Amino acid sequence: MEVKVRDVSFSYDDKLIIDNFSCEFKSNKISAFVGGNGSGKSTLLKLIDGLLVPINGYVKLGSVNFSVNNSYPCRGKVGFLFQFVDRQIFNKSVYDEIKVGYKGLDFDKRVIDVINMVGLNESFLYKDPYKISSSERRRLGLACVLIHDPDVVILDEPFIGLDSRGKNDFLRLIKVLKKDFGKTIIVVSQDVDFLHKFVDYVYLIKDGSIFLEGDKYDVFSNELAMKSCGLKVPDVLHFSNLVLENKNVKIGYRDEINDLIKDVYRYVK
Amino acid sequence: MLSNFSLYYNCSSKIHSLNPLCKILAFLIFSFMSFMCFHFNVLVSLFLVLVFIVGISNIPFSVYFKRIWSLKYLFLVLFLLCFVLSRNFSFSFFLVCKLVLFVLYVLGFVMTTKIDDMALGFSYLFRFVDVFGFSAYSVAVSFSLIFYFLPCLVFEYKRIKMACVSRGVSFNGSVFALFKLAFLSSIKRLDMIRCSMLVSSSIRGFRWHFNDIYMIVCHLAVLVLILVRGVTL
Repeated sequence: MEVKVRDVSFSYDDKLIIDNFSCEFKSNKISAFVGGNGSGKSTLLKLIDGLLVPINGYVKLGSVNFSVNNSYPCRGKVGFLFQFVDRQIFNKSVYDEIKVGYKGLDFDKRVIDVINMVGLNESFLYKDPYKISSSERRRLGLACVLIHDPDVVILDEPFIGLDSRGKNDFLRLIKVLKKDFGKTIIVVSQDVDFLHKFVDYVYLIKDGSIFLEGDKYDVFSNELAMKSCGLKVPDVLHFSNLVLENKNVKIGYRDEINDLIKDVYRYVK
Repeated sequence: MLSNFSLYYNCSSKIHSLNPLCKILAFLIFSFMSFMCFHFNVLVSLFLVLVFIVGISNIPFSVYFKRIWSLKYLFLVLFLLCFVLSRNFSFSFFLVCKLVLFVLYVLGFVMTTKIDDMALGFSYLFRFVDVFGFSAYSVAVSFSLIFYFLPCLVFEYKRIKMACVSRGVSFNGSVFALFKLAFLSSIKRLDMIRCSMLVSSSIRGFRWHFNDIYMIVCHLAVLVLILVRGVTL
């Protein structure tokens, strides 16, 4: 499902946080908002999810104007995983937590499918959500979102608090959601080293408006723009720039550091 | 705004530095005065006491206003209910004004007193329960948390509603289910605060200073004035 954000503005306590913002998210693509602290990324996600109502402009999900018809018809088409997932959890057991709001008859089968999909198993079902690890809680949060089979999945800083294994597992899951289920995925993260591995399109945000947008290669390689937004260039790209400067060898852009090492090795040989 | 209705306001003032037991006693005297208030001149006396408290609390009036504004519907409903039952506009208006003054005083009390100080003050007040084999501090902690129940309930209600909306679940038509979840969650949250307060309890004593005695004397003077003049007028 396509998401269109048109001329959206939002203010809080008379302070303009988002100023006339327009963007578009294609289905079966992973888009990312990157920017410094307080640039308005999370506010944008809340506007897209309908948790906040814009002062002007609109958000369209498919052909439905979400900002006008905020309440029911579109609810369930968007799932949002918060940065602080503890704020999304309020039941006594994992089973009760996932059950919230699901109206289908095949509930038990669906719970097991979803819980396996996010990398948990049936033994978690009757555990207290507050007594499992933060990484497992994040997976649980995602399971609670995915059980409703949303067309658009919004992830706010999904890698915070995860170790490298947890990050890789989560990354694999995001890729599955995109490839196998054709979800539209919107991610906010400051972890550009990790983000560049899987996003397709990037919006660089500064002071509530788009500073730069484009293919991830175009945005992440613009060192000046990244620095002016308080972000660093991904290590892989920084390294390839160094090789170009010092050895005059253009090795191009690689998603994985291993591919980069192979390229460098090939040139050295 | 209701979710932070009774949150402590961190600043320095004469009211903040008062002995918690003194604040509780002053609060009880003011509550009694509100109870005794049947005439307009008594209401004015209460208002003057309140202006004095608000003035020296160093908390901007806008903070008081925003917090009391969050209860506007409650006041409106009470006014309408009172008006329907009594058929007397001035009586209903008077009653709501009295309630507003009382709530403002409660705000002044909770915004200038940390929860552990409040529990400490109540534990001195409830020392007599030790005779019956109860822990005065434990009773005091539970009593202090009463002030935080409503904001906690509102906070949990909003949090759970937002969590459901973010997952794509709509609670249209099942507000009761949402309220039940919020109620259970807020009890759990307050219980956690209670446990942490009981674990980290360090009962310390406090002395009476000039300001404490001055505050109690001021309240008692107004109370005497109300009893002598106000009620009989």
